[in-house]
Order: sequence, then C-alpha cells, then structure tokens
Amino acid sequence: MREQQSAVRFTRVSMQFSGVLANDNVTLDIHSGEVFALVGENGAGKSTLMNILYGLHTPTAGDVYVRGKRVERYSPAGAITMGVGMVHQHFMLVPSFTVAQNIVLSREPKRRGLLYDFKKAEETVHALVNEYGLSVDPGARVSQLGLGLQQRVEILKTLHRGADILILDEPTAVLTPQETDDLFAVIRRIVQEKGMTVILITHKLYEVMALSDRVGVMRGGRLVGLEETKNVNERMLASMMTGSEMPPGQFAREGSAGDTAVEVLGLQTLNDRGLPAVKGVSFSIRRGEILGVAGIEGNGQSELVEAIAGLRPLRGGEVRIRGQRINGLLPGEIRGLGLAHVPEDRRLTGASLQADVTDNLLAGRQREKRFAVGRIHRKRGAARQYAEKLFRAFDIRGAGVDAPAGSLSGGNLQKVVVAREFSFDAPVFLISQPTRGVDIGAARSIHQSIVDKRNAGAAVLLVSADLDEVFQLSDRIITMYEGRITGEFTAGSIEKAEIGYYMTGDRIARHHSGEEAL
Amino acid sequence: MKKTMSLLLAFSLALALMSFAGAEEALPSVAVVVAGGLGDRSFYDSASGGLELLKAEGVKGTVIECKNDASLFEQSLIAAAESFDFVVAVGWEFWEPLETVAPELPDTKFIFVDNELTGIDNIYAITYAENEGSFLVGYIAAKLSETGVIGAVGGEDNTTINNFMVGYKQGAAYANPDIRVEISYTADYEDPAKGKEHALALYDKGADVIFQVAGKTGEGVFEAAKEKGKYAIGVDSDQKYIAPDVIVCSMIKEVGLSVYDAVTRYVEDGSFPGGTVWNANMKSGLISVGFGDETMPQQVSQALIAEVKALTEMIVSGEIVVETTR
Amino acid sequence: MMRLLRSLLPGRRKLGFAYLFSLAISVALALLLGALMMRLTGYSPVEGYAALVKGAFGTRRALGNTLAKAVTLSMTGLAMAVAAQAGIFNVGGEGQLFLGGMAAAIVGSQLTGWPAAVAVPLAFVAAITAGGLYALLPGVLKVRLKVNEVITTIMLNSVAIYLCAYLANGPLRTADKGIAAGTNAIDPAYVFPRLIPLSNLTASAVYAAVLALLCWYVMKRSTIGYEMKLTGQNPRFARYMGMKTDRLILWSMAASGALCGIVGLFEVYGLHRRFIPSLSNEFYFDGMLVAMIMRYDPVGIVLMSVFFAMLKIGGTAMELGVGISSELILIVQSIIIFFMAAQSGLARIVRERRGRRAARRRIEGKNVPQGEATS
Repeated sequence: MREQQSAVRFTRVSMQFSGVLANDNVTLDIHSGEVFALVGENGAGKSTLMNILYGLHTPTAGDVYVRGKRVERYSPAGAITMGVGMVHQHFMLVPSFTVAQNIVLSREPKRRGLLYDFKKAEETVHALVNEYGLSVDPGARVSQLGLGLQQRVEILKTLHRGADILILDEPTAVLTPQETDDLFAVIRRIVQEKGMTVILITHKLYEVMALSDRVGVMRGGRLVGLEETKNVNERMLASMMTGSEMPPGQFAREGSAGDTAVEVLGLQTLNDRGLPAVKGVSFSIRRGEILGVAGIEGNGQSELVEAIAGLRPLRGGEVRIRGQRINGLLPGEIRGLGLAHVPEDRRLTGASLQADVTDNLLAGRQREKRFAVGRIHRKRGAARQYAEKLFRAFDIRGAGVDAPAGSLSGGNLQKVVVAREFSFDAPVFLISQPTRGVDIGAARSIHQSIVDKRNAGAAVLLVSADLDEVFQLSDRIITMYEGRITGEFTAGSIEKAEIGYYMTGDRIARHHSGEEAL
Repeated sequence: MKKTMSLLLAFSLALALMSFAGAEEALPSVAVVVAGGLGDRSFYDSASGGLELLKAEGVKGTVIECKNDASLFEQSLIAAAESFDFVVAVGWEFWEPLETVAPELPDTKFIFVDNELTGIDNIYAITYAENEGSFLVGYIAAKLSETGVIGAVGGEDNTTINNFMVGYKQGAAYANPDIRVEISYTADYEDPAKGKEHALALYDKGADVIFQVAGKTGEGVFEAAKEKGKYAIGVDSDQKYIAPDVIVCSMIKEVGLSVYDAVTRYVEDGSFPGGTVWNANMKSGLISVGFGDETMPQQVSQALIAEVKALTEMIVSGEIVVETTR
Repeated sequence: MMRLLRSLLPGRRKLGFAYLFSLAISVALALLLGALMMRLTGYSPVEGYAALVKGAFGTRRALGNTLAKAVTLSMTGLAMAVAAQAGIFNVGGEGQLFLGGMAAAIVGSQLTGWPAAVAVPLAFVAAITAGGLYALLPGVLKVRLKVNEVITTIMLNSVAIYLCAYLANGPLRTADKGIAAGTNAIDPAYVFPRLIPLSNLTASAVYAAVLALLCWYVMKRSTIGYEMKLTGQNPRFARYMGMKTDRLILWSMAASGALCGIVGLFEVYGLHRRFIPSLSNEFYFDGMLVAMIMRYDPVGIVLMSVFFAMLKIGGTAMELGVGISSELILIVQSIIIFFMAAQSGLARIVRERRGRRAARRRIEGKNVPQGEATS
C-alpha cells in the first residue's frame, strides 16, 4: 500500500551546543508519503533535529540524506532547493503584505525582469490555492487573517517554493479546536492526494494518534522509540517520553506532615495567549510534605506555579499561603510570606545572564542587614564572600563568582538558581523542573536537598516532566490534564505505568458524558 | 637691578615703537561671528559678503559660525576678539553676550549689525532703514496685485521685522488706498517648510504677491509661489536668482556693504564711533530694491521701475517720510 | 590576555578591559584618519592637533570652556545612563532639559529680590519637578500600558520644545530691549558665579560634580542601583526575585528627567540668565552618544565627556588658529562612534566562531570515536 521509499534519513546525527548535547547519535528514516510524528518533552531535541534538516544548524557529527542525496551544506536555501519546507511555531510573514505578496516573497514574478507583477502573483497563488484546496483569499492582508489562516499561508509559501517534505513545528499550539480540525484535513489531503511527506513535531499525543502513520519518541537528545502508530497508545507514548529506566533512588524521609501551609481553591488563570490554562484547580499542601504534579507539559502546570508565585494574575479562585490570602499581591510580597521558587525556565526567569554569579546568588537578600548598611549601602565584600560560600557548597563549576551567569553551562546555572532559592529558610517551596539538563550526580544532590527541606518541615510543590523524579520524591501526586486535576494519589498507591491514563485524559474521556466541567 | 630695569624699559619702548610703526601700514583684521550657519542666502551670507569685499582689499578675516549653539555665543565673541581687531556680531542673539563681553575686552572694536545697542564704548551698532526699502516693494506689490490683496511672511513678531511691515503697508497703500495686506509670522528663521505653509495659507486668502521677511524660512515662500504660480518678494539680498520666474524683486539691505563701510572708514581716518548707532538708510545707498540681472525674466515693467526710482528720490529727499517702529 | 578573552564571553556588557582596549584603538584610529585628512587637505596634522589640545586646555579660559562643555555632556550622559540602568531608553532628555530650564527661569524671574539661598534651591526644585514629571509620563505609559518609551520620549521632545518656544515668544516674552525671544531675566543675585572669568565655567560645575558622585554611588554602590540593574538586565527575573520593577522603572525615569531638568537650569542660571528658545542645541543627544559609547558606566561617561569636550572646544580653536575646518572633528567623532558600534558586532562574530570551533573540538574528541566503536 505505502511505498517504503526514504524521504529523509538521519545517520548518527549529533548536535552539541555550548554545554548541551541536544541530539545524541540519532539514526532515523522517514518514508516518502507518510505523516511522521516526532514527540518528546521540551528540550528532548526534536526541534533541533528538524532545524538541522531545514539547514538552520550544521550537525556536529553524522549525516543527513534527503531522498538518498547527502546534504553537503546546511542552509535553509539549500534545504528549500532539496524540497524541504518548514512552518515554524512563530509565523514569518509580513503583516502589511497581502497573502499573495507573502507567498511569492523573494521569488516575485517580474515584468520585464524588473517590475513586480502583482497580477501574475495573484494568479500564481490562485492556481496554488486551487491545486491544494487550501482556500484563502490571495488579496487579503495577512494582518487581517486569523492564526489558522496565517498558518495556511505559511504552508502555501513552502508549497510555492516547491517543497514536498513539510515540517510542521507544534502547528496546533496557537490554534483553536476548529482551526486544528481544518489543519488536519489539509494535512491529510496533501499527503493522500499530492503524495507529500509531512513531519509533525508535537507533544500533544492525541494529535499523534489522530494523524500520523508512524511516530518517533525523543528523550534527552536520543531517539528512544520508533513505532507504527497503530501499534501504540497514548499511555505507552507518555511513558516513553517521560522515561522510566532510571532506578528509583531512595531518600530517607523523616517526620510526618504538619499543618496546612498552602491552600489552592478553584484557581483559574490564562496562558500567554490569553486562553484559559488552569481551569479551576484545588489542592492543599501540608508542612513536611512534597506534592508532586505529574502531567505532559503544556497542560497548565507552568501557569499554575506562576499564578501561585504571583507572576501571573489569577482569573478566579484563591490561594492561601500559611493562612494568608495572596490574590493580587506582588511576587515580592508573596516571597515575604515565606515562599521560595525554583522556576522552570532558569534563563528567562531564574537568573540574569548578564549579571555576575554573585549578583545572581545575592538577589532577594540585597537589603538584608548583613549585605547592606541601612538597607542602602551595599556591602560588596560580604556579598562576595557569601556567594563564594554558596558556590562551593553547591559545587558550582564555572569561571568563579565574578563571571557573568550567562557563561555557566545550563546545569551549573540551575545550581545557582537552586542554591539561591534553597538558601532561603522558607516554609513553602515551589519547584519546577529542578533537574532538567543537569547531570546525574548534580540531580541527585538537588533531589537530596528537596527531601531535606521537606524533612525540615517545608511544604513543597514539585512540578516535573520527569515521572521518575515525581515518583521518587513525592508524598502525594496529582495529575494534570488540560488545566484540570485528573487524579490524586498517595505515594505507592499507583504504578507509574498506570498514571499515564490520568496524564492523557483517558479517565476524563471515559467520564466525560457524565460531568461536563471538572 | 637698576640696570636691568632700565634695559627692560628701553627694550619695551623699542617694541612699542616698532609695533606702532607696523600698525600704520597693516590693515585691521576682521572676524564675522554669526549666530546660525552660513548658507541662508540672506542675512548671514550678506554679512559674510562684506568680509569678502574687505578680504579683496587685503584685510585678514574669518567667519565663525555658532550653529545656533547658545553656549558658544559669548565664547565665539571672546575667541574672535583674541585674534582679530574687529568683531562683527550678526544676529540679535548676541545682544546680551555683547553686553557681558565687550566691556571686558576694551581693545576690540565690535560692530553689531541690525540691533540698536548703544552706550558701550567699543560697540558700534548699525541698524537699517528696512522700512524705506519695504515701502518701495510694498508699492510694487500693490501695483502688481490683481486681487487687491497682498501678503507678507515675517520670521518673528518683533520690532525689527515689524519695521519692514509698516513700510510695506505704507508703500502698498500709497499705490492703492484700497489694498489689503495680510501678515503672518512663522516664529522661526530656519524652517522653509513652515514658510511654505504660511505662504500657502496667505495665497489661499487671495494674496497674489508675498514679501518674505523670514531668512531661510522664506525659501519656503518661494516654493509656495512656484507651486501656486503667484509672486513673491525677496529680502536682505537680491534673491531673484533663487526663483527668477516668481520673485519679482528683492528688498536689499546691504549688511555686508555697511560692515565694509564701517571698517574702511576706520582705515581711512581712524574713526570708530563706538557707543553710537548708525542708521544705514536709502540715502546712504545701503537700502535699495533689486531686480536680478538682465538674463532673468522681469515681471516689473520699465514704467513701474521708473516710478520706483522717483519714489526713491522722494524718500531720500525727505519728501516722503516712511513710518518706523524704532 | 586571559581577562581580555574572558570579557568577550556572551552576556558581558560591562565596561571591561577588552572593551576599553578596543575603545582606545578606535580613538587612535579615528585620530589617525583625522590626521590623514589634514594631510590630504594640505595641513600639518601635528600642528592641527597641537592647536586642538592648546585650544582646549592652553589657556585658563579654554580650560574653563572645555570643562563647562564636559559638565553638560556628562550630566546628560549620566541622565541617559540612570534610565538605561533600569532598562529604559530615555530619548526625551532634550524636552526634559527645556522644561527644566523654563521652570527654573520662571522661578528666577518671578521671585526677584529673595535671598539667593532660598530662590536658587526653589529653582532647583522647579527644574527637578518639571524635568522629572515630564519623564515620568512616558514611564507610566510604559509600565501601565506597555507603550514603547523610545517612541513616546521622542514625540514628547517636540511637544516640550515647541511649548517652551511658544512661551518664550508669547505669554512669557520679555520686554527687555534687544531680546527677540526669551523670558524675563532672572534676578542677577541668583546668577551662578563664574569659576574662571570670561569662560563658560560656572558654579554649575560644582553642583555637577556632586550630582555625578551621587549618580555613581546610586548606580554602583547602593541597593537601589543593584535592583535597577537587575531590572534593566532581566525585568522578569527582577520581578520574580521580589523587586518592585514598575516602581524602579518609574524612579529611574524620574531621576533621568530630573537630571536633564537640572542641565536646563545650569544653562539658564550659568550662561543665559533667562530662558531662550535656543537654550540647548541637542545637548542631550551628544550626551546620549557618550553614554552609549561608555556602556552607561558613570566614571567612563565623565572621562569620555572631557575627551569629547576637548574635541569640540579645541576643534573650534583649531579652525580659528590653523584654518582646519572644525567639521573634521565631527568626522573624527563619528568615526569613533562608528567603530564602537561595529565593535560589539565584530566581537560577537569572533565569539561565535570561537564557540563553534570549541564545541566541535569537544565533540570530535569525545563523541565520534564512540560512534565508530558502535558501528
């Protein structure tokens, strides 16, 4: 039925960025005329791999073949001539131009070799629209189109450039459900009728099941699974994505849970695009307890943490920290109530890359008596000594406390963030993705620190894409899917394999007819 | 000790004699300090033209431009005074700097053009009877007007600019008692775009001849005239060459010539009437009307030019007294 | 050499040794090109530069003028730097300067006959308030409505300058003879004394020295400066760490505007004794350039201001003495700015090249043999 001709072949491709091995010896064959889904958590290396195919990166080792031909020089222009097109998450369109002008951009039809031929451009685009059945008005201005149609323009642009291998990077992230359905119809049509090859980068598993012929799973830069879609289900994919190979380490747990320290009641908040991300979540955490949040990324966990930390406005519900309502308080005021926070994105939120390590370690304490005379005059010597102490205690490796934080590797930067936040004697800790990109030894010591905080009586909210981490550390676990809590378990009452049901919405789907809103 | 003292005395005496002997032959040096920058094809350029005349006779001189940097006004005067005998200040902006600086530099002779600053011994002020010349161009404008409305664009609503305006109105009324004169001020001497806007507004009000009294801003008046196919009148120097088809004539204020006169008079008889004002008028030949040269198209008829000549004589003789704001 | 390499690391935005080194090279190259141009136009570069230095420092008066110019440049440069510290690009200093000058002139001309010890501080309050509040406006727009401050500050420049010109030509115009446009003069008792007779150097320089020291202290040694810096580098991080970023942004903007307002006061109380429409000839933009070249480092700004003031004042003297056009000095300045702008781009290219090569070496040394072993 399907020809098994190779469209793209990666052979032992590795990609090293400063400090991070983004792709680790990946060998993968993508067949001509199939929809191939590439799944994995953020940072698993799937985008990097596709950027190599699109010529944005030159792999540090290994080769890429397109239709059997080895790629010699990696550049987007080269990729386009080989028939590879890519639609990025962020559209690259000129808003003030018309659809037709955007589509023919850089290959405009010319009159007498010089003048832009607007009519010809519109005709070309009309033909293209009819051929592929992608209805969009060539004369409309892009700025007036919705995101779904803009994406369609992007696809048409790559088709106009002659692409027959189309990479779609998280194509549904910005779409409404209706637009998503339309997109899927388009993809099916161009594959079935035009024989194109489509590579879909995503971490939404139902899309994989709905659309793809085969699926590849990436984790930590490696390709860890390659299956026919009909042979797998979402739960299997979820456990492949999050991994369950690492032997669970044991940490000594002491003491028992005390009073309630954090109460979240019916919390609602929006994501950056203004869409509901957390849709009424309630839970509480007691002192001396770690509450783990398990879920596939993008199901509202990040927004939940930011809302509690005061970095994202609440749209409903309330949060109490040690009995104190925090709605509407500034992040600093919430910290003042006894909260420390390891954010998921250390480069954007957790540190100032331009500031030196000392300044990053000192942040939050700058007005303390031991670092400032009268809250104004900085004691720079004391700050430096303090930073050096933390630097050694957390075994941070880098050029020293005077070097800019941006010069540290990802793992060491994470240690700076952890060192700073754990130095606060806070009763409540919000911890997101604490060991992402950190080597095993350092991860283990961070895990130990988290448990130590718990043993000392802190309430910890732990969000992680790494299921092992959640299982290993948590006293209780809640699962999140689509902005809602889908299950709550005490440690040991559920198997890792089983929790996948809750993370992928299976349980909701089963009860969906009964309860409309959870 | 005594011996050295007397030696020194003799030496300095000899030096003084030598320099005196030198002064008899050497011409004075002249610096022209302008508040803005050259290239206005009007007031500043006219002043520097006077310096060129002097240079042609062997006088050493230079132009110092302050480029409208107010912090340089005083300092440029001082710097000029350090190296030059005469310092010609061009621009009203120098009024207060001169009041401050001139008494401190008694050896320098300052000439302040276009301002009536009196009472300081080493400042010789020159003002111009722009009202007299404006009378003539007002007369021409009224004669050329078909609509019965003429206009003027002033750079600023002040005494000097209004001295043009009163003469202009009087001359126009002399030609046609029913004439209407529309006046508009730009509050800017450096912005042709503004001049154009003001001129267009005046043309829209029915004016068909506009007198520009706004320095570089006035170039916009010429632009507007070209666009509308109407007439304009130049100022300060003979500006007809800028747009010979629409500039019918120019009211010439010989700033450069007056500076030349003042310096040459000093060279001839050593006179420098510091502390006083010289009103350079039509009688002294420093105020006149220019019509470009014969290669340019002429909109003013020979008959009208003859009338203007007659009026000139009447003003010089005192038969016609032109109003003034001074 | 190691320090030089280290300061080329990504994210390094400090006034590091390497940066100063390339700055020195830029300046030397620009002066060399200037010399070449003198040569080509038939002048002696040695004579030219000697005249320049002598014209800037040769006499007491020249020294005074150079220092006075440096005062204006460093005050406006510091104003730029104070805002930049919190991540704001205040392009509106010119307007803030005009309003400050106008406010100070109104106080000094209306309250005549008061003791200077009362009136002058009041004038400072007026200038600080006018400049500061006017800068606060785009600050509030940025913080509350996320309106880009570059656009608003540029626009507000024109508003302030035209408003002041209108006041000086209209309602507040003096009746004093010979002044075509300007407010009434301030009480002579309030006029700042000149530190060097006949030069532009007035008591402004003393106030400026105090203010510069204060700026340096706040930016480099105080907790507020530290918080402003982190806010400027990464506002998200600063907010997450509990700093009141909105308030810090507003304060730094107000401080920047207040400094500009004080420069306006300096011009009025030091030089012109009244507000005149030509109070500032884009002084703020010159200061901005100095601040950007020196990467907003307060000490660097003061030093560079002296250098640029030397070029400016000496350049005029050079024109007068040797006849070399002072435009040449403008060219030299532009070349320095051009080189410094290119510097960051060049440094980045070198850095990326080096990083890429290093990464490849690491991989080739480690990973490839592994790949061979598995094959």
